[in-house]
Amino acid sequence: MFELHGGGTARRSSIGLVLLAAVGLALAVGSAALTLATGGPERRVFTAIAGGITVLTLFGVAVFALRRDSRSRFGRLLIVAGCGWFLTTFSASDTGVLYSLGRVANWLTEPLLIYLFLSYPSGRLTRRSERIVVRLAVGVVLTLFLPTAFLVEHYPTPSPWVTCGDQCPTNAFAVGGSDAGFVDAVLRPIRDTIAVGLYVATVVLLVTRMRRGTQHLRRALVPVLGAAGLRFSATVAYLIARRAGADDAALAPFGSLVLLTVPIAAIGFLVGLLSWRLYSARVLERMIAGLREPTDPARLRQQMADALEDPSLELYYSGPGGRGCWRDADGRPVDLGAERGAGRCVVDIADGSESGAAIVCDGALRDQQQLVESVGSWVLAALERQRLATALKASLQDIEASRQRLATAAAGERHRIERNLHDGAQQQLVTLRVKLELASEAIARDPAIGREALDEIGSDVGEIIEHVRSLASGIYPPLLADAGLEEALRAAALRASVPVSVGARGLGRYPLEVESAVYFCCLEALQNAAKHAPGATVVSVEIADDGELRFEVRDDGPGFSPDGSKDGAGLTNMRDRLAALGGTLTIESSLGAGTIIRGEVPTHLPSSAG
Amino acid sequence: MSTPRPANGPQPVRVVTVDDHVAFLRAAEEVIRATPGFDVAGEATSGQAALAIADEAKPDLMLIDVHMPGMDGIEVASRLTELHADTTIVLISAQDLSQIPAAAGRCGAAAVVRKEDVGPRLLRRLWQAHGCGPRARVS
Repeated sequence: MFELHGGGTARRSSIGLVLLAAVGLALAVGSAALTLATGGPERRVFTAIAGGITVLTLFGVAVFALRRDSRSRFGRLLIVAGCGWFLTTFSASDTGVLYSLGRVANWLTEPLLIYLFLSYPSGRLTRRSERIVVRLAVGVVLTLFLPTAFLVEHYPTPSPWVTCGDQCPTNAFAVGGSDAGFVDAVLRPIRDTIAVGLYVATVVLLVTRMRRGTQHLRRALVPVLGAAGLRFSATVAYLIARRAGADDAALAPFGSLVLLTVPIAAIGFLVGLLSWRLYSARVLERMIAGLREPTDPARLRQQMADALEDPSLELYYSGPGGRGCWRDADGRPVDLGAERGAGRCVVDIADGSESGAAIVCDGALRDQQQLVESVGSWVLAALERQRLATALKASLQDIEASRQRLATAAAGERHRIERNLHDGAQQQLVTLRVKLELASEAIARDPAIGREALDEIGSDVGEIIEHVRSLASGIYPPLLADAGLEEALRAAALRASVPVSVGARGLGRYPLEVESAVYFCCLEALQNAAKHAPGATVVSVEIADDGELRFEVRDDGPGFSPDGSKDGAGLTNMRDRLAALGGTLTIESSLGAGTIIRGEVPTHLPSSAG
Repeated sequence: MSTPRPANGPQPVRVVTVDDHVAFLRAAEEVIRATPGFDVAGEATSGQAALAIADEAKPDLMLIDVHMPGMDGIEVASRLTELHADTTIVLISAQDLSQIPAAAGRCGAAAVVRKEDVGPRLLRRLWQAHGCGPRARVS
């Protein structure tokens, strides 16, 4: 969503701004020069300076707005306004064509000014009432003002922009058939009245926008509202005074005020834009401070609303249906299109992946798209961090639990070995010792009985040897150590109580712990099949190495339903053994369809210290 | 189980062996039979059975394994010394004597010996050292 301006784009845009500033300066100087050169006797210098300042301030604020955001619609409007006001300064000329052009331009710039006031700071009209007022203003100009440009011989005087006093040039656009009486008596009162009404409406709309807007918007609109109020009340006062027949001397202050209110408005826009900039910095400061602590979606929404000073801010998440399906924090579906239609600012802060979020906030923030996007990206980062932290914690807990189980299993194993030795071999050896003493006494008394006793002792020793062998096998089968997985499993298969087939592909030799884990997992799986799959006719064991060492033990027994059943101790042990090596275990089973136990272990183990 | 008493000779020492390992019971039985002056009076494979057979056979000497599931040898010894003061109790163990609980020294047993040392010589020495009561006889 971000446009990160590369060096080339930045340079091009700064060259463009320099050119724009130069053009503005040229036009400002040009208009002042034109007025001074061709203007009439009335307040020529003042009008020249006022005109120059007007054009200069409009272009200046345009440059400021576009420097901050090259996509700024308001900035572009200000350029149009600057050009328009450049044309209006022609009214100060006493040359017929220029004068007429300037007078017509005066009319055309009024709706533009209303548009600027109502669309500040985004350059867009967000409410229907605003659009109606602007359309009405344009309509009035096109129907009640422009046509008179072809009809009247003289434009209405006095006027704030003219310097010709009573000696103004005739209308260069008149096509004859002047019906000055109709225009003066009927049209002018109507259009003046409508104009007053439109000015009042504009001020009212600005006030309601302030009351409904965020705290910051209210602060930013104060200078704008002031300038609008000043401009319109000065214009209305001028119109009323003129209609009442006041003389030039009485009208002059109002006229001067009207001239100055446009640069004042431009400065009002600038102050507002500056305060937006400060606001952005504060927003980011607050967001950064707020995101230091762990957070959850509910608090995140509040933090953003506080940072952007917009209590109406909402945070929505894309639902399971993908990007078009949005839900609020409680899971209720939301229509973003409707929000956009209602003039709210909707910023999609997806990061290109499946899950994303959208911020819906006050329409005034539409001009702060980049800021809202920055805040949004922070939000996504915070949520992602939270999600990762939770997943990590869960993972660590799993690992800890697994480690505990492995440690317990290892201790249990040692205990089992000790018990086995004690109860088996040790007891047998103790008994053997007793028998040896008896035998030695018996030989002294009766050699034949003594020999019998020794034979018995011999077979006892054989049993002990068997016992110790099988114990060692249970710890680490010698066949596994000598010949590897395939041979050891084939031998285990022979001892199983059901027919077992063993297949192997691409096997080599692997580290002790890997072969041991796979061997005992297969053994456990075979024992499970023998115990829990009565009626299984065949069990197959397949092991293969295709980059990972995989095994599969399959039986055609009755199967079981794995949903909701916890793993037994055997399966848990298998999982833990494999997990300790970075491997995994999966079990597929359904009633009537047999059971498949699959496991895999990476064959390249990271080296561990010690 | 016990041989009939000779009419005029000294009476044999009657021995009961208590151990949950049957193989050792067989070996102990052979040792007792091979030791002149000693006789097998019975055997038991648990603490409960040991108490029962002590009531029934009233042996002179009992060899009791320390480590048995359920009631262990030390507890059997404690009870027997209360109920049968005439019976000499000897605890036996397949483990190293350092692994015997300290309670063995207070349960009333006359001695604690290792199982592999059980033989005719040991039996005679034990009886000489700890045999007591009117029926004590040493041949």
